[in-house]
Amino acid sequence: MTVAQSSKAFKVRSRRALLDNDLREALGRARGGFVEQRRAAFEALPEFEALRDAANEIREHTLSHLDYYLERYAANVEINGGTVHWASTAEDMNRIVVDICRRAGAKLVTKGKSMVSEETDLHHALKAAGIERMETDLGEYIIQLADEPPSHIIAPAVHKTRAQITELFHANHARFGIEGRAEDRTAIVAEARRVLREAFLSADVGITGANFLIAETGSNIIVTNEGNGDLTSCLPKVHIVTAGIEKVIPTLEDLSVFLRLLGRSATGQEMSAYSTLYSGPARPGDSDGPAEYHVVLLDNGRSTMLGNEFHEMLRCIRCGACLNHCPVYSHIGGHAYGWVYSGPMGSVLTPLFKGLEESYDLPNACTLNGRCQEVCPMRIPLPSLLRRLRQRQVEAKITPARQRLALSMWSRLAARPRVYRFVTNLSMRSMAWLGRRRGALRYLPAGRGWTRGRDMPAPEGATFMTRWRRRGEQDT
Amino acid sequence: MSRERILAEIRRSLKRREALDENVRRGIEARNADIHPHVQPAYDEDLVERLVRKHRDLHGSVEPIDTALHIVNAVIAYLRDNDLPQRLVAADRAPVKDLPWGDGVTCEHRPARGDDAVALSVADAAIAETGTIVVVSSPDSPMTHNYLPEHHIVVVPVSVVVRWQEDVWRILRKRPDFPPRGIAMISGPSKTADVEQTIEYGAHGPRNVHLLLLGDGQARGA
Ligand code: SF4
Repeated sequence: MTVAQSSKAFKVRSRRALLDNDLREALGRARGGFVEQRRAAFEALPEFEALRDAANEIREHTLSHLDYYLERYAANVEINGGTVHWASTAEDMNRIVVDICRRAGAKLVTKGKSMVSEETDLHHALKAAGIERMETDLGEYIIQLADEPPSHIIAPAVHKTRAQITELFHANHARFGIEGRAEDRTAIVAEARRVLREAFLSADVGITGANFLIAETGSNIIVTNEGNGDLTSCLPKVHIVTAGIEKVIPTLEDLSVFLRLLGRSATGQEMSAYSTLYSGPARPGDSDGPAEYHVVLLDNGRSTMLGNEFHEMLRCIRCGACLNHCPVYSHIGGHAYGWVYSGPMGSVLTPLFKGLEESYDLPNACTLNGRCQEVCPMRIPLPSLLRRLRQRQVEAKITPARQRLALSMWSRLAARPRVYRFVTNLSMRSMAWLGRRRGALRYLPAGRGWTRGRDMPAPEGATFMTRWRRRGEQDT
Repeated sequence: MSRERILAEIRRSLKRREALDENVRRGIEARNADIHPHVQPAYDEDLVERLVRKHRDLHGSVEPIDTALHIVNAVIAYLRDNDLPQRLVAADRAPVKDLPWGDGVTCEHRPARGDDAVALSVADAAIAETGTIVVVSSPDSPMTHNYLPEHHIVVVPVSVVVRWQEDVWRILRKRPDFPPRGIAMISGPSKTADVEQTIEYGAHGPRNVHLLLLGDGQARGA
C-alpha cells in the first residue's frame, strides 16, 4: 500500500500548501477591505476624536464605579422580569448555562456570536451535557462544521475559501435532505439560511452575547449584520445572554457614542444592519418572545484586572480594528494565537486569562509598530500593555536564560529600525507558514536561538491572574 | 454568593471597602439624570432626503406615498413586482390595522412563521443620521416580523423621522412601557460577508427592506 500511503501524504502536503496560499489571500483581502473601509468611514466623520474621548470617559467612569453600575443593571433586569446570574469563573458560567438548559429540557440550543462562551469553552460543557448546539452566525457555523476555533472576532471564517465551504456543506447537510453542492456564494448563503432556519425554529434555548449592557434600562444590545442574534433572541422559549462584567454602560445616550464607533471601527459601517435592545422576557399580551430571559455576568479575572496595570484592556469593545491593522496577525491569521482572542487584543488578553506560561510567545510576537493603538477606538495602549506583560514574564522568571538573552537582542535590534525592518520582513514571510499550525506560536521570527531553547517551560500550576491576586494581597 | 465575591473583588481593585459613599452615589445619579447627548455628527441635509439616501445606500428601497389609503396598492404592487404570493403578516396597529385588502390578498395579524415571505410593520422612529428604521415591540407589533420574512415592508410616517439616534431615546422614554421589550434598529437588509469577504444579502433575515414613506399631506420642509 505504499503508493496509496504516499499519495495520501502528498494530498495532505499539497492541501496544506494550498491552505497556506488561501489563508494569505483571504487575510489580505479582509485586511485590505476592513482597513480601507474603516479609513473612509472615519474620514467622513470629523467628530471621530471627540467620540473617542467621550467613549473613553464613559468607560473609565463606569469601570471606576463598576459595582454600582452592575447592581443597578441587575436590579433593572429583574424589574423587566429577567434573571441575573453571577459567574466568578468560566466553570461557574458553564454550569449556570447548562442548568438553565436542563431545566428547560433543551435538546437543541442556537447560539449567536458570543465571545465569552468561547472564552469559557461553553461548547464542551453543552456537549458533555448531551445538548446539541448550532452556531448561527454564518462564519461561526462554517467553523463549527470544520471543528475549528474562530480566526477573527468579526470574520470568524475568514480563512475558509468558497470551495472549502462548499465541501463542508456537502459533507454535513445530507442529513437535512440536501443533495447537491452549493457552488456559488448566493447558493451557499441560501443553503445556510435554509438549514439554520430550521434550527432557529426548533431550538429550545437561544444563547447570545451582548455588545453592551445598559444599566439605565436593564437591556442588552446585540449588533449583527445577519440578524442571527435576533432570531436567536426572539424565537426560543428561553433566551440566555452571556456577558463579561465590563460590558455595562450607564445610559442610552452613552450607548449612542459607542455605536458610532463600533461599526465604523469593525467594518467601516456607520451602523450594522441590526442593533437591537432586549429588555426581559415576553410581556403580557405579547404574541412572541421568550418566556424566560437570563443574563449570566462573567468575571473570570476581570475584577482583578480592574485593579492592576492591565485595567485599560477592560475598555475593549471587541471591534477587531487592532487585528485588521496588525502586520503579524494579517500574516499568520487568528489560529496561531491559540485561543479565542487573537491579534493585539488577544496577545494581551490570552496571557491574562490563560497564564503567562501557556502563552509565552504572544506578548513577544509584536513589532511594536503602534498601529493597533492608533486605530483602537478606545485608545488602549496595546504596545505598552504587551511590554508590561513581557516585563512580568521576565520578573516571574518563567523565561529560561537563553530566551532572555534573545529577548534583549531582539530589543536591541528593534532599536535600529532599518535592520529590524529587514529582518522582520524576512521573518514575516516565514510566519505565514508557521501560522498554519494550530496552537500558540512556537517559533518566532528572527529569534531562533530563543525559541529553540524555550520549548515548553514547565507550567508552574498557577495562572498569571492568580499570582497577581496573591501579589496584590502581599502588597496591601 | 458569586455576586458578593465579584462585587467584593471589584471594590478591592477599586481600593474601596464598601459600596459607594452617599456623595459619590449622588454624583453618579446626577450624571445619569442629566440626560443629554454626548457627541453627534453634524449635518445639514434635509432629514427626509437624508433618510432616503442613507437607506438606499444600505441597499434598501423606498417608495413615497401620499396617504394611508395608498398602502394597500403599494403593497400589492410590491408583491406582484417581486413574484411573491399575495399574502402577508402585518402589525395590528394604525395605519396598517384595518386596511381594505380586497379578495385577492390575505393579511394576518400574528407573529411571523418560518414560511412567511412578507411582513408589514410601522416604524416608531426613523433616524436620518444613519438611515436606520426603529420598530418597537408590543402586543401589536411582534418582533419576529422584523427578522423572519424575506421581505420587510415598513410604513414610515415622515413625522417620525428624527435627526439623531438620541432623539429616539428621548421619544421612547415618554412611553408607559419604557423600556419596551425589544427596540429594533434596522439599517438595511440582512447581509453577510462570511463567504469570500463579499457581501450577500438575505443571510438570515430580510433580503429587502422596503420603506413606504408616508407623507403628512403638507408641503415638506426640513
Ligand atoms: S483593543 Fe481596541 S481595536 Fe482592538 S478590539 Fe479592542 S477596542 Fe477594538
